[in-house]
Amino acid sequence: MRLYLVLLVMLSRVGFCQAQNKALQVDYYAAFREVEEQPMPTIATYSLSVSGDTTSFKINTNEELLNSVGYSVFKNYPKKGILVFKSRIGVNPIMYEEKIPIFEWKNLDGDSTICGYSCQKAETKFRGRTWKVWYSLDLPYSEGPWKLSGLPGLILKAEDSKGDFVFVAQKICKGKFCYSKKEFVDVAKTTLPNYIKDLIEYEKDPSGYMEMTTGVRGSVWIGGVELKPTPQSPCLMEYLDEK
Amino acid sequence: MKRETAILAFFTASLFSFAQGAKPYSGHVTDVNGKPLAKVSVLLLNSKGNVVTFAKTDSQGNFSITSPEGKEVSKISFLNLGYARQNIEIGKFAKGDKTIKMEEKVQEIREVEVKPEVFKIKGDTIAYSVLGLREKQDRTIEDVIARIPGIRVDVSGQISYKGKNINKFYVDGKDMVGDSYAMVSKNLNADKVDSVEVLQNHQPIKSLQGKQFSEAAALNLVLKDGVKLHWTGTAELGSGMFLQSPWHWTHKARLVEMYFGNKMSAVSMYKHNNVAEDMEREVMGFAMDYSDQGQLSNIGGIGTGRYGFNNSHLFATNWYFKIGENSSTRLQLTGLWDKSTTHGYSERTYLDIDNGAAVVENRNASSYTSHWKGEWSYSLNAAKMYFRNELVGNLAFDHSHSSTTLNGKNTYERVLPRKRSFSDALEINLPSKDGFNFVRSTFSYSYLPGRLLLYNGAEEQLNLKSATWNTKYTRSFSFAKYYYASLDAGYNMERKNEFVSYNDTTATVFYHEDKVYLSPGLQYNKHDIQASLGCDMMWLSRKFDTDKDSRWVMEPNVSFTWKPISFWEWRTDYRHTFSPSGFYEVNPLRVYTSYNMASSGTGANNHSSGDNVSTSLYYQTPGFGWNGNIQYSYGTSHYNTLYESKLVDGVYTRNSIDESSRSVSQVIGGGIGRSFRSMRTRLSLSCNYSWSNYDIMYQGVKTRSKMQGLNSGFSWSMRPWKIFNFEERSTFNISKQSSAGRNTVYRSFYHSLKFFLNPGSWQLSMSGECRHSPDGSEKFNFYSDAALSYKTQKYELGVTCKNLLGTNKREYRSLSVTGSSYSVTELRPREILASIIFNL
Repeated sequence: MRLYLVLLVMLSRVGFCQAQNKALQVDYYAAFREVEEQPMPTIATYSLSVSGDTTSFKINTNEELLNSVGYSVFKNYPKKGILVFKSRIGVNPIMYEEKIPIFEWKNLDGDSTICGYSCQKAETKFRGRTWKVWYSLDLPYSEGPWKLSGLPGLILKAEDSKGDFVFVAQKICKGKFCYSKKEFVDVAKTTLPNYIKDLIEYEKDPSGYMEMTTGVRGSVWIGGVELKPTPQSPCLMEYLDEK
Repeated sequence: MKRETAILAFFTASLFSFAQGAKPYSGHVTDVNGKPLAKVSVLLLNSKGNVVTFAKTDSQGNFSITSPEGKEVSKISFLNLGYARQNIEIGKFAKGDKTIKMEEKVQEIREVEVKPEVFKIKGDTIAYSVLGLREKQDRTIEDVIARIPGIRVDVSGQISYKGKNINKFYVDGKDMVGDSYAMVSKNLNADKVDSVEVLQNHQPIKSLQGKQFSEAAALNLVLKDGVKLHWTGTAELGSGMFLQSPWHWTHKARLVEMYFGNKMSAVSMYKHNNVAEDMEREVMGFAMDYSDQGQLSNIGGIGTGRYGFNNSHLFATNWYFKIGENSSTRLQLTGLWDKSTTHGYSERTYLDIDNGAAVVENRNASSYTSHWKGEWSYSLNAAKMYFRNELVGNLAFDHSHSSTTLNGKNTYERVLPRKRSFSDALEINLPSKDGFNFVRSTFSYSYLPGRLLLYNGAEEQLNLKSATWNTKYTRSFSFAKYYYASLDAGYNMERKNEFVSYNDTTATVFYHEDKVYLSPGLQYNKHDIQASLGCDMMWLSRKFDTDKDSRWVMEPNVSFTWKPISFWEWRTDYRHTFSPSGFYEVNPLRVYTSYNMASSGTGANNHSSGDNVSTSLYYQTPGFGWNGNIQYSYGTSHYNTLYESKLVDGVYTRNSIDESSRSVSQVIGGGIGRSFRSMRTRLSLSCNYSWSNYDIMYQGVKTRSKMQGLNSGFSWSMRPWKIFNFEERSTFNISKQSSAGRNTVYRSFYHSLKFFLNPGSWQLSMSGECRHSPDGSEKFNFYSDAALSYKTQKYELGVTCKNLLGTNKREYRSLSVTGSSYSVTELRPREILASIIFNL
């Protein structure tokens, strides 16, 4: 019995030593609507990397090529206290900065287990959407998918009340936080309100928007008739006119 | 003792009341050296350990937190990455030191990788998210169900799980369509379902739950919130044509309406097509039909798939009402009309006829089907009582005719196999403290008046009346932990009366069968082991005209199921059976079953008996990972009736003789599959080998014969990119027949490959199918289809082009127990169909 205990202590010491790297990587399964007219949600994997204060939330690179909407969110990187959002509108890479948002969280009754971690439930209203999240106190990182943050534990599941956006952790591991100097090279800067405005414009008439921004009308012509996609409206994650 | 309890109660009460009011707490957090710690999470927890509220320390390490009004608070907790968590009783904190010193501790990360979006396991239920399973080309919920590991949906739509047919198909927990579940599974849009739950080992009768083990699983569809409480449906219109002569207009129409409410659920539909889509199974149900199917059948039947030239109309309505908390009633009415034509050539060679004479037929047949079915059921399924009554009525007015060339001679075929049947099933279960009392009684009556034109121009009239009444009482009780004893007592009655008339023959024959039985049984049911032992002891009395036979019969059986861990399952069972020769085997009258086939029985009440052993091992992980199974079964049957066959003027006649034979059949098979998370890859490999030894009469001598079959298959599906996926399937079959020194072997391959390209709302699918054989038993054949559609939330527009290469016939050879045949079947020509579907 004693030997068993000694072994157990030794094993736990091993675990201890291996876990010294504070960098954490969480892969989220994400289901979301890109446009309101979309019959079925798009599915992708996003990875969150946390190292100290710095976080990055990026679409899985294998899927990026095919996903027009793949976006990245960086917090405290490259500047402290600032959140950088990077995405594309059509083919144009675009980014904006804002202060890291502060969320008003309300704890709710109910718990769940996600990825083997016991989770607590909380809710917040943020820019026109109500988010329900499950976070774990066993992972004391105040971070989460997309822009969500500020809870005492890591958010392992988040969904908005309309069901337009769902993130569920599917992999938690020790990871490296990779910095790429080229991350923000040749990326047009904009602001959040302009980004939303441009996104709405783009979905209304993608080829018109392309022509306006690049001078090339990216459209298909058949027998002298231009095939125009149906105007659509983006399914926005945040609405600036609402709190 | 009382005093201590009182003090404790007072203390707890005061602590509780103290915790109820809103109260502010503040303090200071530092590390062991007294350095203030910023951004430390300070949590107030209730007695369950749930967070009531939280705050963070400021840059000076100070915090202030207020417990919300009316919330119970039992602990205050301090949490910071890289430091050991501290939990302090709130009372202790309020009275004690307000400076918290946190010790450094490396945070251990438990590395995990799961795929929670695909499935969730809760007890015996595995819930699969539709979102996680579905590929973009999946339209109905059946397409999604077929992707669940362990589930097989056969061509007719019947669903099985781990090799056993499902026993219930629920929609939001309601048994709304009974066994006609294809009505829902083949018509409900997958968009409307949130998840599919597999309820393993499901006992549908509440009062038997925990008292009688069930091996079968049930499925439950969990609908999305927006689908309930209003009518939802689909409307489709399609029109097209054959692109090869003769020109032909093709069309289809569909209107399906469904309502899923709390008190009432309904499905109603009208469907029509002449594009060879199978609809029969959607309304006919999968449960065993009580009525005898008779000896006559339509020529060809309803044509479906590549071979069918049909024109079908279907109407079905099903209403489910919840009457009380546990009671419900269901009414279903269905009607099916069809006119199908078949064109085909066949050469049949009989093994049991001297010189292997062949029957050559060239057939141009038209068959008309008109089936009506009504079903009403009432059930009370409560924990204290179960009552169910089901009434089913069937009507079939079929007829078919054909201009046929039989061995070069022109003949005309006509058959009218009419059917009327009615059945009622009653079940009552009353649980007792230690077990249950179950009564099941079924009654069925069928009348099958049939007419058949014979090869010589005469007409056969064949009217069969049959009535059966089966009643069984089961008493089961538990006599020790995990042990149940049961006793079945029952009476089965069967009466048959057949009138046959053709040429100069006119006769009526009667058959009576009565069975009284007592079956003691013993069951052991612990969560990982289910074992049962039983023996049916019966008194069987039969009478065919003047021939009487009465005897005692014993049928022992034993079964064993072991689930060492939830992913493994081992089943094995043995059963001895006694089968009285059925009416058709006994009946000495020569009865024509088609214009050129007749058979007659011994006139004596013979029987056969058999022993069957089977064992199977399953391994199944619910989501991604491995799954596999191995099965073996051995069956032997003694005293089988032997027939002597003759071919006269192209008419194949079988007469039973006074000799019997023994047959042995064995099957060994298995499969292995793997699903990968990466690119949603699924691979599976299966192989089955079966062989049977039996006797046939050849040149008046009992000749030992053997049939062997090997079926192997491989399938591979993958989604390399979000917008592209494919499905590949290949099979290889060998069949071998050995008899009287002659060996015939046929080998054939089948391959199918489907590509789906789904950019945005568009979908393009291409498929190719190929059949070939190294020995010419299957002439090389290639078919290809293509479809393009544009889908939005409200509608879908599509164009389908089938048989792009215009392959016009399939030529193949096949083997059966008594012979071999060469067939040429005409295929539907190249055709195009444009359709529009609205989601209502």
